[in-house]
Amino acid sequence: MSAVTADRVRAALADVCDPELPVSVVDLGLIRGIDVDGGAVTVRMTFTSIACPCTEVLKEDVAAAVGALDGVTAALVEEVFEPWSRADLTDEGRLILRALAVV
Amino acid sequence: MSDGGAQRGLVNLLVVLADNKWSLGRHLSEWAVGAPVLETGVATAAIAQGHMGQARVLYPLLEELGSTLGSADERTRRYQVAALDHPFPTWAHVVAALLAVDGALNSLLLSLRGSSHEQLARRVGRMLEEERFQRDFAEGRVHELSAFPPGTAQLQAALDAVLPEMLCWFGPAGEEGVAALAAAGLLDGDGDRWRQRYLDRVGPVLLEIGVDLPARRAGSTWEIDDLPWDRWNPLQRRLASPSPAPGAALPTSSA
Amino acid sequence: MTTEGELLERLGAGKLVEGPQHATEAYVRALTRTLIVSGDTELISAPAYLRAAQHAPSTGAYMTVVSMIQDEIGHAHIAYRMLRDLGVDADALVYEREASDWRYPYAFDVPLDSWAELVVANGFYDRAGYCLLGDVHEHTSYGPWKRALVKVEYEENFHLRHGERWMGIYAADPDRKRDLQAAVDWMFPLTLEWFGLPDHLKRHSGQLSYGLKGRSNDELRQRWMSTAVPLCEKLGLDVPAHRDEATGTYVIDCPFPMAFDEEAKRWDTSRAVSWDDVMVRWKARGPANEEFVAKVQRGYKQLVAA
Ligand SMILES: [Fe+2]
Ligand SMILES: [Fe+2]
Repeated sequence: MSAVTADRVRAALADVCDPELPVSVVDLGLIRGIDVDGGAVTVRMTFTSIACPCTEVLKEDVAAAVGALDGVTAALVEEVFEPWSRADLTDEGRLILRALAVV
Repeated sequence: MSDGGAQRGLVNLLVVLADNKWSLGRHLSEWAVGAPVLETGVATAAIAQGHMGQARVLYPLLEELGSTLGSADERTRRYQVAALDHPFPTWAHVVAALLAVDGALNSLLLSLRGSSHEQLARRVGRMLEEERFQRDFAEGRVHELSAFPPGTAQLQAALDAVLPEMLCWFGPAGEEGVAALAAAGLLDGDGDRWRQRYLDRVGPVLLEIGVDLPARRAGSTWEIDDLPWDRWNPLQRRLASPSPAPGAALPTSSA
Repeated sequence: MTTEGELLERLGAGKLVEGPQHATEAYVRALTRTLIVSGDTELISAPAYLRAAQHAPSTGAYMTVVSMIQDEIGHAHIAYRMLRDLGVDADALVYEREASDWRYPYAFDVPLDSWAELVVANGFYDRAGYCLLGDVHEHTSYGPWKRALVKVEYEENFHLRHGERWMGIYAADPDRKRDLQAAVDWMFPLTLEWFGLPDHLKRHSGQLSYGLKGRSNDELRQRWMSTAVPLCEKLGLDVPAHRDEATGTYVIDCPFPMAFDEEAKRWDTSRAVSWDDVMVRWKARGPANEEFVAKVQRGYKQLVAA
């Protein structure tokens, strides 16, 4: 069994996309912290807007992606209610959203 | 938090705020279909999601504060103003609620922005991201409505029922629970100051289109008509409905 | 306006029509008809989905439907705005037209009464919309529409993914799967009808020759089945269609057309009817037609004395 690290968790989250946009939660800048305690992982995340109906689906998807990692025994998602702005996008995220004319 | 009384007061206030936002969002969403202009329907759907999202931010915090009430969709009783008891019968009622009900809710939210309860202050900060949009939308709808010949009269009729309740909604002067919350640094202000600020917020746009208010300007403050305090229910923070439903007071303690 | 010859030359050169100055009256007529069907279909889906949203299992689920309704009204607005640019009184079209004069697929006249029916509508109806609009996007000769459809298709794809996600959740639970199957039973054939008369009966409408769409009714029906049928098979749901391995096309395994009891939401598989009978049912509209159109028009009618 391989050791669980924040980097491995982050890599797994790069595959979790917003249901309305082909951009991952990492590129959207939604991931605000990853705590690893043995096999127990807590992902702290915020959302682009509280009006977004996608929060539940995204939390489920994040928990599922982390839970599927080898060595993870518990995956928890904690919503932190931090503000979000376009400045939180990664370059990759900005590129995709610009192509879709969203930003 | 050391003061148990203040905490109970805070929980009650937050339940009321969350339930009102939830019901407002729910009733608004029903008018995404039926708005008198298609673009307005699109925006109404977006605004409604914002209100429901604001409620969704508060419910988990209530649980952390020890409330066992759960969220509005888990119970049949909601702690909301009488103006939100039923679906809005006309578009004018929608506009009245956007301006007068939400204006009051947001006024109070603004006074929680600097709360000493750090978790609450953070969540209120996120909730208030919607505030500017909500306020602009409401004022835009007032003007849009007044452009239809019967619009202003319809809005007046809807507001006549809503404004007195919302003016009461900030509580009587010197309300004890509010004073305890303010003393604990949980919120900022009191009933009379909120009422004034509320009228500063909703008054000008209504006067502009010729709506009569139950208040008039006297220098830099508003002189308010007699409010229906005889029908005011301080525990449910609402006016008694014309046909009273089996009453249940908001639980004052979660213990 | 231009001449038929100049128009056909323009289309032949693969150039887009950007407005009435590039078109003939006949082209504008065909385009207008097509846009009205598109606008009406988008708009009527809003009251249909809103009614079903009352059965949402949570506030989050409800909000998702409200967000889809927001998309649909936006899509409708795009179509009506283009109609306005063509000189049509779009306000009268939306807010003053008789319910029976609306032009959207009959399927939306049959009310959705549960969460299961709503998510099958997302999985089937939004997929039908996606197939049709995808074809328009690919082939339409009308420039403004082609460009507007990039965003529409993106959102439509989200609606149908929403349907698939929830159909998957329901299919995993034996009790809910029964509800899901019941919804599929009446909604699958209704979506087959969505694409209209079979090609051999379809009268020429100018849609194909003017390049307003690219594929025929039967081709579009095939395209819809090519993803809808595998989805249902994967979820263990029975549908009256299968893929014929020899030809690679989908074969419908029930009478088509068929008699439909709109109140009971049941098909009578023992009774084949003619397409003329179906046209009569379509023209008469279904149970929710008046309710839905009234919902759309109510705010306007309260403010503008008819
Ligand atoms: Fe659509
Ligand atoms: Fe759709």
